[in-house]
This record gives sequence, C-alpha cells and structure tokens, in this order.
Amino acid sequence: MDKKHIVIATDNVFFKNHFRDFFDQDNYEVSYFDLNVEANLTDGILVDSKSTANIQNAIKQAFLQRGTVDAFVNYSNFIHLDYFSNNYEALMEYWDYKVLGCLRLIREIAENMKSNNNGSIVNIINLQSRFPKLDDAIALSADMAILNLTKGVAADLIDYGVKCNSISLGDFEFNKFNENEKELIPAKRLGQPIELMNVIKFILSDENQYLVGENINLDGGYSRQL
Amino acid sequence: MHINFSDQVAVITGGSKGIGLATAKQFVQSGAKVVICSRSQNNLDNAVNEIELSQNVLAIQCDIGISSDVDNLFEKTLATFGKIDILINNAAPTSWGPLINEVDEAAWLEAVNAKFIGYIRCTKLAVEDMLLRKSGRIINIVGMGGRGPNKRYLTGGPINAAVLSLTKSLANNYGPDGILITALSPGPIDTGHHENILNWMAEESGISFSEAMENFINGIPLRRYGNPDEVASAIAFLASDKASYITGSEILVDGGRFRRL
Repeated sequence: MDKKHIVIATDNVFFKNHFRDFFDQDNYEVSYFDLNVEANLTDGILVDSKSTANIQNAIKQAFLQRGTVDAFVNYSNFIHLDYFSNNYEALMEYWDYKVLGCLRLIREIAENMKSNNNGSIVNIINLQSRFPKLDDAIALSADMAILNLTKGVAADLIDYGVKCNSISLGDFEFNKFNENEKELIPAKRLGQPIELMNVIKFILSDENQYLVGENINLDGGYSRQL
Repeated sequence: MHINFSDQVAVITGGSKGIGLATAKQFVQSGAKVVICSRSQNNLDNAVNEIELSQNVLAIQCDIGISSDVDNLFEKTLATFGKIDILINNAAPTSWGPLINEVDEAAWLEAVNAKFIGYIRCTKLAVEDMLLRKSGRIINIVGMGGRGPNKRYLTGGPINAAVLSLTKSLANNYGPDGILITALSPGPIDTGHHENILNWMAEESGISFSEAMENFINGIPLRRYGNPDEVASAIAFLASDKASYITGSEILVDGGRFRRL
C-alpha cells in the first residue's frame, strides 16, 4: 500500500516534533512547512504564508519527490497582540499571516487534492477562542475567523472529494493557556500529544468519509456549551 | 414601546444609507443628537436632507479604515456635542460571491481593515469617553455570515465571526464599567445588496432569478425580507435603558431564518 503523504504547516516546534514522532512511521511520509521560522533554524521547507508565490514554490519542492498530497494539517501558534496598542499595521500583518495565510495554504494545497478527487485538511485552532477576553482579543478573534473559514471552505471542497475540518485544542503541554485552569478541566489534566495525534490520524484516515466542516473540541471536557 | 434618547449622543458609522440611516432617523425622533459618518459626502448630504430635525444631526465624512479619519470623527463629535453615549458600529457590507479560488487577497485584507479593525478604532475612542461617566452602549452590526459560514462568503464570514468574538471580549471587559456591548446580525434585509446573492443561487441551482428568490423567501419563517426600520428598532432597543441587562449577546433580526442552536 502506498504511503500517505501529509503536509504539515506549523510554527510550533513542539507540535512539529510530536507530529514527527507519531506520523513518521511506515504508513506516512510527511513534508514540513515551517512557518514564521528563522531561515537558519528550519529543517523543513521554509514557507511565508503571506505570499502565494512562496507557498506555490514550497508545494513544488514538496511534491517533486512525492507527486501528490493526501492530507494537510495547519497549526500556527497563538501570538499575543495587545488590543490596546494602536499599531494596526501589526494587527493587519497578523491577520495576513494567520487567517489569510490559512486560506492561501488550503487553496494551493487543495488544488493537488482536487485533481485526485480525494484529500483531508485539518485546521487546528485554540479552544480559548470560545472564551473571549480582551487581552487576547486579537488572536482569539483570528481563531474564530479560521473556524468560520474552515466550515465555509469545507462546503466548497467536498464537491471535489476534499474534506476540511478543524480541531479546537484545549490545554496541552505545547499549547498551555492557563496552568491554573487545570482544575476546571473535567479530566483534571492537560491533554497528551498522542491524544491529539490520534484525533488527527482519524480525521485524515480513510475511515473518515462523512466528517465535513466539523469542529472537534479536544479539551478534556472543558467547554460545556451546546 | 417608548424609547427616550433625550440628552443622548449617538455616533452611527455607515449612517448615510440603509440600516444606518434608518437607525439615525429613529434615534433623532427619540430625541438623540446623532453623528453619522460615511465615506461619501454626497450620501451624507442626501441623508441629512432625509432626516427630520436635521439640526440634531452632524454629518462627517470618514473612512473608518483610516485612523486619522476616525480620530477626526470623534474629535468633532466631542467638540460639538461634548460626549458619546452610544456607538453603532455599522460598517459597509463585505463582498459575497467568490469561492476560495476567486478570493481577491488585497480586497480581503482591506475588508479586515474596514470592518474588524475599523470597529476597534471606533470602539477605543468611544470607550475612552464612556469611561468618564461609567456608562455607554456599543452595538456592533455583524451579519449572519459570522454564525453561518458559507463557501461564497469567505471574506465576510470570517470577519463577522471575529467581530462576534471581539464583542464578547469587550463586553466581558467593560461590563464592570457600565458599558454594555452587544452584537446585532441582520438577516436578509431589503437594502438592495441581496440581488447578488440571489443571482449566485440561481446560477448554482440552474434556476431563474425569480425561482431563486421564491426558494429563498420560503426558507424564511416570516416569508419576507426585513426592512431597515425593523433592524433600526432592535438597535434602538439595545441602545435604550430597556435593555439594561443585555451585554455580550448577539441578537438576530432575520425573520427566523437561522435555525441552529
């Protein structure tokens, strides 16, 4: 059986390493798109999500060796931007990088998937976007925008056999929002990386054919609203 | 219901047409001093001519996508009326139509600047004044695409979702200061923008424009479009002392069209 080719775009080195540990096995080949990383620190393909041309070049590099892509995982860090700052250029740049960047990456990678009439995309956002607070309003709003984008795009791409879903990530070791809130998590602990990887693996698997535009809260029961 | 805005000062962005203009008219009739702004001086002139008691209206040309314009809007408001009690963030509607492969990146970023960041610009300056009196109302006009994502609303949908999140953040933060901040999402309102959507629906389903309209209207429990006055009434309620325990909420004025929990 051919190995699945997964492209993962992230600026979180811990997430990337966990992903590498879990997915670089017999059944997967993974291309790493390193976002927002210093050129001398990357061991994957350096990608500027603010540039369509740059993304297209990265895709050429990744696909030269493997030809097609079966799955795409997108996770960029939560970056604190001060709501009270009047530096609106920085705010625009963040949206360009994070939200429009997400759209660009999906658009370009989905082109390959569409030609195969098959593919699966997972956007990972921060669960805290469901619990807005002004200090982090800029970043949390951007995550909500990505949640909306995921569902909107999913309704288009499924016409081409491409499934697009999202995971809202609760408190994990590499994504800790508030250590003091651990007691508020019904599971009374942080999530383990392997628990995230198992959910990603299911969404990307051939067993998942009907999960489209869905968001999974992976949070140990933290979010309780309907 | 009698709403009294006597001695109240309201700033209504996008106040020269449609929902913004209807809101300005209702507020003036209820006794408010109203500041309307728009990018178009011509539209502002026409709006002032339409509003009765126009001596209580200040019209200021302003692009909320430009910080210096917004600074000028609030400086002139305070210089003329001395305070701001109510802010209605009512930006221009965002484009409907392009699929993911058709999204214009520059226009997408401009929409973020004009709506999401524009609302932040105006809110910061209004809050600065409201904090002096520990009192104020801010109503963010959002749009159904925030709660109901659509493959042909990849600009407006994400931006509106972000504004909903922002509204909740602001409400949490400024509730203790007596500033109540809500969102209002109009559904299909007869402001002339909906023709574009019906054209796409007709094209996608291979039906005529009138069939698309009939199907669309049959999907609205009230079986009709809303009108700007109906939205303005809900805005006036949220801005009034009748809504003194509502903050952080989103009210849908959509004839029941959005059915999900």
